[in-house]
Amino acid sequence: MNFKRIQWIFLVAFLIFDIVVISTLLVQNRFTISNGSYNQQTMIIKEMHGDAISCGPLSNRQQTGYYLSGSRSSDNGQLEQQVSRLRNQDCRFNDDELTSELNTPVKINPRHPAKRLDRMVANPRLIALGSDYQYSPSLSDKNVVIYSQRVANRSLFTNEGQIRFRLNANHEVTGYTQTYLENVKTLRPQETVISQQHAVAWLYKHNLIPNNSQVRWAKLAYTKLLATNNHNQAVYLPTWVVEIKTKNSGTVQRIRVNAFNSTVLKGTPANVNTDDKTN
Amino acid sequence: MIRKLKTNWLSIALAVVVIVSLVLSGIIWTNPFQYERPRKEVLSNQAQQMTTQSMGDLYLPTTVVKTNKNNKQEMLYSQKENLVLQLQKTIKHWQLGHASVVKTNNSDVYLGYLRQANSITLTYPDEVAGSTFNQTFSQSIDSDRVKQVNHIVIPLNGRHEIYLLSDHHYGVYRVRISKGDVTKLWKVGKQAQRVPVDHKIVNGQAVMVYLRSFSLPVLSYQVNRQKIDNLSTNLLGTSRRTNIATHHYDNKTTYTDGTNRRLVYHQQNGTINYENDISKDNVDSTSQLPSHFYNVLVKAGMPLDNIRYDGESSHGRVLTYRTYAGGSPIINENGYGGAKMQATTGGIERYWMSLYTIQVPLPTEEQNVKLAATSTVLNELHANSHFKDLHGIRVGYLWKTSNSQVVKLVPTYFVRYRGNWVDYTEFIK
Repeated sequence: MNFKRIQWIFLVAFLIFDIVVISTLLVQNRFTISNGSYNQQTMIIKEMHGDAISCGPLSNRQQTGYYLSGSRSSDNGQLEQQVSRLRNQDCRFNDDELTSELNTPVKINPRHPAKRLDRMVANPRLIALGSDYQYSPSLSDKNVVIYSQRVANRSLFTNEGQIRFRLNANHEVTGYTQTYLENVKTLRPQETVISQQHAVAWLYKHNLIPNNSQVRWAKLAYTKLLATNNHNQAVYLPTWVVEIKTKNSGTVQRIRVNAFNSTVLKGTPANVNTDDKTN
Repeated sequence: MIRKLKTNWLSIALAVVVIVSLVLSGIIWTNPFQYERPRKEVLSNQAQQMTTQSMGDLYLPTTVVKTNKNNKQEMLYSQKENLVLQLQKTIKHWQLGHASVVKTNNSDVYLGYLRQANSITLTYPDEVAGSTFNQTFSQSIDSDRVKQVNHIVIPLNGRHEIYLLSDHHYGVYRVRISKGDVTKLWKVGKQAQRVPVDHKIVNGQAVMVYLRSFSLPVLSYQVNRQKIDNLSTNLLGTSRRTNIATHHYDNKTTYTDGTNRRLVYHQQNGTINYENDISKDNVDSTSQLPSHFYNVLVKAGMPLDNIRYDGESSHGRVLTYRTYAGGSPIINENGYGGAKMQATTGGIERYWMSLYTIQVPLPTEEQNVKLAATSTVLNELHANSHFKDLHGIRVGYLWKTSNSQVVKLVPTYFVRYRGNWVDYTEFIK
């Protein structure tokens, strides 16, 4: 082997070494610049489209919310006290729930049920405490129209504050059931919550959105975090409720994400014993 | 010359690449962190995804005081509105300009600015660096000039300036508002409760005193108990090394991972001590510690929504964090709900933490607690033989365990005794 060839070999070897080291240094620098959480989220949303997950535009707006407490209106509660004022219906209050049959069914437009029902809900002789409820299109379907109670300027997505209007095949409301959350109190001053985009990106990152599916909606609403034995009061918090439909099987699931700390809320809320054992 | 170059070009090119490789090796050798850092950064960012709190939110002022046109001060307090958050959001939209020194080393002038008529004052529990102020409020004031901040005084009479006050040497700094609308702050705290207060200089620090007796609610929270296995893995574990050895001895468990890191868990009270010898060369500088400790808290899995920076000691080498409820710190002899972190210039990092944190408030039927005026409390304490050893007085919440799931937080005065905050009633028994 002559000297020139050795020189050639060395030149190539060092050149490769230099290129590799320089490129790793550059790549690392680029990474540190571009991994702000905002960019990460938009990248994740792009990745989702690659996995055939479709979703509408997601908002990045910062919103706020509270920890709230309240109890379901029961015997002699606010809801039952209103019952005597109701007209043109047969109603009874049982198990903390008002069940009513309308004397004459109310015809509604199945595409825009709120057009007719908003008027009915606003009338205190037809619906008790109706001004506290608002139409929830995302929870309603062709058999039931749901009005959710509003607490702290947001809807309550639990069955403790809802009016469920039953529809028959002729798109007529024949009756309804109603629950009411009373004694709603703020437990902690307002705090910021995660954005809609953050919530959906988080679900995807933790493999909770299956491939080939559709994110139908993601709404920020109050849901129940836990129940206590203190006068049956429960704790509610802002939650991103996300509905996902699998395209092949057509199954629909709803996932709740705690909007304060982005954890998934599963199963029935826990019970907390607030008794003071030290006394 | 050119011919010479042409005949020897191979040797010259070889020499060039060898020199380049030597330079690159030198860079990696002298600064191995360039290789380590990005990995660390990515890790902490993943953890950040879990929390909505950025570093600036950990180092927030905690007290809001409004001064009326007659220089009377009232602390604003609300169960519903988050006044600090509202003010932070507003100031973030401002553009602060040039900062200039107004006066230093004059406590009377200092108090005058702190009691400025028609203003809102935001106060930190203890001093923060100018750079930390910048981070919290998205500003870029000259942190070499404004080294420390204790109070932010915002005049509400339309002057386009704010004052940053530093208890250290009684520094008063004026900062121009080049863009921003102060009139938006007029409505802040309109619905809040008001407690009459005043500021006094005690032992070289501006202390807020309560002029009359007032009442605060008793709060109730659900207690989270983090699993020691999670906490030890969070603090000791890395992606590369996961073999953690444990050693039980006398209600204590020691976790080691074969490096210089060690974690001791005290089963009896659920507290941990962590120690890591990272050597003198690798220890963070004092200005980097606030962000370094933020990253550690995130990594440890602390729920940061109620946790605030509460104080510093040892010239900024020890920082304390506490859970805040209703604007006041929660104080507990075992450090529940908080953390104390130290990084010595000698290269040793120590953390004191506990497994217990609180996050979810619970409804409670407890009656409000009536607290006396600060002067009344001081008079009561005067009789105690330890009075001269008491430094500082503040209102906070005492952690009282109700049962394994629930803690009751009772408001009371705390006095600083031998470096710790102690319930004042301990001294008037």
